Amino acid sequence: MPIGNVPKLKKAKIFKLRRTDPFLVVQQGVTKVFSKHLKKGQVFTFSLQASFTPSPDETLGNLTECFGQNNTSLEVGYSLTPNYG
Amino acid sequence: MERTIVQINTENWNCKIPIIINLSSKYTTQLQKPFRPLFMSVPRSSYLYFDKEKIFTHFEPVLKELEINNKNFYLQFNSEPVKWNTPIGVFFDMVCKSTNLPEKMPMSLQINFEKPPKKFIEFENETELYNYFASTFKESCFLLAKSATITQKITENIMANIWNGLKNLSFDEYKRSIQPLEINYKEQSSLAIRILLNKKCIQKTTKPVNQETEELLTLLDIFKDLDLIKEEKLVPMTYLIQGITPDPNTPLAFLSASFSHPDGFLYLIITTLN
Repeated sequence: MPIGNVPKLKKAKIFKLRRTDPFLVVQQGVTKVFSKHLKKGQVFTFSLQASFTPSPDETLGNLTECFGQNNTSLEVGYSLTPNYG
Repeated sequence: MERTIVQINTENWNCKIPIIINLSSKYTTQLQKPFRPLFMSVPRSSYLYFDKEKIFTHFEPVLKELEINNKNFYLQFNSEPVKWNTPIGVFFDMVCKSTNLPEKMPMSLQINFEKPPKKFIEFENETELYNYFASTFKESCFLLAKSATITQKITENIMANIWNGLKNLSFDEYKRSIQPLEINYKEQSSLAIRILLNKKCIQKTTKPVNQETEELLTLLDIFKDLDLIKEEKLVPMTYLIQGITPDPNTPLAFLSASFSHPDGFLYLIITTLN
């Protein structure tokens, strides 16, 4: 989910991810998709529930179970500046 | 002697683990003479990262002798790397205490100056570890409230004070810092639990009370959930919370209030023995 003035996908892109994959896979995947739009030194901040950034080594299975919708999907926010305190 | 929850917390914060750090064997054979190990006593609730400078300074002469330019290092127990972002007590319970091998004290770690294995998170500086800790703390707070009610109250100032409490190993300072967040484990919507089942992390969010019976949920309910009860008996296993094995009928709310780590999670380490 794009937050603020960040590049957005014109068409939804589907990533195949496993529950055992670490959150790092999402961070790397999104950064790769938008690599052309990022200026030198710019990095995305990722967040769940607009409250925190999960650790890169947390599994998507754990995060989906605790913060996802119906234990099947997980909404991840990305922004160029932290969108939470 | 009965103890209050605050006393138990204080004891957990004061509890230390003795460790000995030796050079990894790949370096010892290259040295003219054996290099002295480093003995330390590290707080259970803290991170070994805070002692990184001290460890580096101790082993710096070896780097000079072996002409190693890499200033980065990581520690390992046998072949298990010590993650900088894991509370040292959790690591100790996972690798030393929960196995059925005789427990050896002090915990023996080896220092390695090569590139750490994949999946190992490196922290360039203390600010990065602080950011990691702040996020983990907010994650546990979100789970406790099942909403952003608590996380919204966490100002930069509160977070900095919580961090200082951890760094100074002052439970009083920590307790004072989290007071405005009004966390009450018995009344929270949920509990934040991290289970390390045979070293695999399972994060759980469990209500403190059974909604139907209104009875407090216990460790046994967690074991049932994890399919660790066969024929009404626990499967052969060890389980530890802050280095001890509580009665399986202990309420989770009490365990969370008394034994949670400074990051807000209650860590339960389970090792099945078959």
